Amino acid sequence: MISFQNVSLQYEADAGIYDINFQVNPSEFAFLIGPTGAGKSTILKLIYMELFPDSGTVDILKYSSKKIKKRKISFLRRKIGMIFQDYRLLKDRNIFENIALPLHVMGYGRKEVYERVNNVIIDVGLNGKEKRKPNELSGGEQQKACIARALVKEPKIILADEPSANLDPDAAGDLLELLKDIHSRGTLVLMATHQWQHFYFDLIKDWDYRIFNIENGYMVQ
Amino acid sequence: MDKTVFLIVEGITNLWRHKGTAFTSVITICLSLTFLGVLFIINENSDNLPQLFRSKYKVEVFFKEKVTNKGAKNIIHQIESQLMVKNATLVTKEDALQIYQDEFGENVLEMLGDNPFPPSCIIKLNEIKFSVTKAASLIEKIKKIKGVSSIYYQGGLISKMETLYKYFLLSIKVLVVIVLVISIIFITNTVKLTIYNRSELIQNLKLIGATNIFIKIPFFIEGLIQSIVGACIAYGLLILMLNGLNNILNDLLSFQLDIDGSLPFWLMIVSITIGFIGSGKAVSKII
Repeated sequence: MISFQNVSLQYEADAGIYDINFQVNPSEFAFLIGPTGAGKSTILKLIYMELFPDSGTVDILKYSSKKIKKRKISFLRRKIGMIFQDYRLLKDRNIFENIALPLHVMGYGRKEVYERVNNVIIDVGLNGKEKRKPNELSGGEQQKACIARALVKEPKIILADEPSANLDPDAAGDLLELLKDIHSRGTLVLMATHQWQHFYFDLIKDWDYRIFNIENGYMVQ
Repeated sequence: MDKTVFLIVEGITNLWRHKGTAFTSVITICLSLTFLGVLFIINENSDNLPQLFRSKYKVEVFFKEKVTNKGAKNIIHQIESQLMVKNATLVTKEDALQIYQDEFGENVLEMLGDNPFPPSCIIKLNEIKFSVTKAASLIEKIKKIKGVSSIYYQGGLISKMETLYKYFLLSIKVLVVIVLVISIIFITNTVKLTIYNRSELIQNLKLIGATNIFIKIPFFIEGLIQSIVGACIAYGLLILMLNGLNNILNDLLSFQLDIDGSLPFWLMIVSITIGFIGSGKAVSKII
């Protein structure tokens, strides 16, 4: 489902990723860990095809970086839910409108948008806060809204880029639980983080997960 | 269908969400178009003002003393057949005597026992066909008519005024072009700024899988509404200004400025075209 074959990309004179090989299968939960600047975000950008490799191939679902046409990238992204460290919620819209946006992009009707958004709001525990603007919510709640926006379109892949970076340990724990719940429904989850915290081990000790470690642009064992 | 409705609603809602920037855009469009419209009206009426002054141009032709009123009428017929002559009015010997008496209060007939004034005529020139060269040629032709004694025509002054009109008309045309270019830059930049302010929205839409056309349409709808509102307000302002100005001009010069019926159409076309080009370019840059 996510496959990197000998992927290299130099995006600055002294920064890039080199000869990356890994594969994440459907329904897997994987962590991409490494220090800041190691190349984690670059790998995520290659997955949602904001960047393309200088060499090697990235295969995501049925799309290949070598063959994909520019206009098809938006269709790939509809199958990927993205969670960001800075939430990237639109400040001029309320939480309901933020979460509903991907469904409008996909052309869903009003009734279905209403039902799906309300369901996902309940799933992430934001009920009662639909009408609030993002800046009226705490960091943890904004992150939940960001997850709800990723989740609402029922994606095949969830990419989380440092999702717990701005959260306290409790909120980070809630976030992991939420991601686990998403994963349990059959969604591939790839979470990039530089904060590999000890409590993560306690939280995920019973999970079936994999860790990919990246340092200075190279995948290390 | 749901997508189309969403995009239209999104375009309209965005105006409300960003009332501040929408207001600024409408004001910018409105002011630019008003200024452009003023120049358009001046340009449209630029021929009327010289014509107003040209209608005041007159040539006085004095006939020889021996020419009778009947003979004067014959000469006037010849004068009226000339190109650029609008009409010619006979001033008989008796009329001339009366004019003198009215102006100076003296009865020349009693003083001299005879009317010394020759008949004359006042020629009004056709303001539409007027040109300094044609006027000079007309004067020469009239001079050659038998029975004509002298001609009073302020050729030098009229020539200077005509040169002034020529420069005035040219400067209006140059100004229209300059203001049009400035308006285009002004409106385009305002639209661009509005869109750059929402680069966050565009980036988000891209990441959730929106196609370029999906991203662009609400901006186009927003720009279209702003352009139409801006053009309508500008037209309203122009009408108000024109009515006020016409009241003053009517009192001062018995002169009225006309407004071309196609003006609202052109304002709309300019506004929408600039809005479309501006928003299209700006969104494309961010996408």
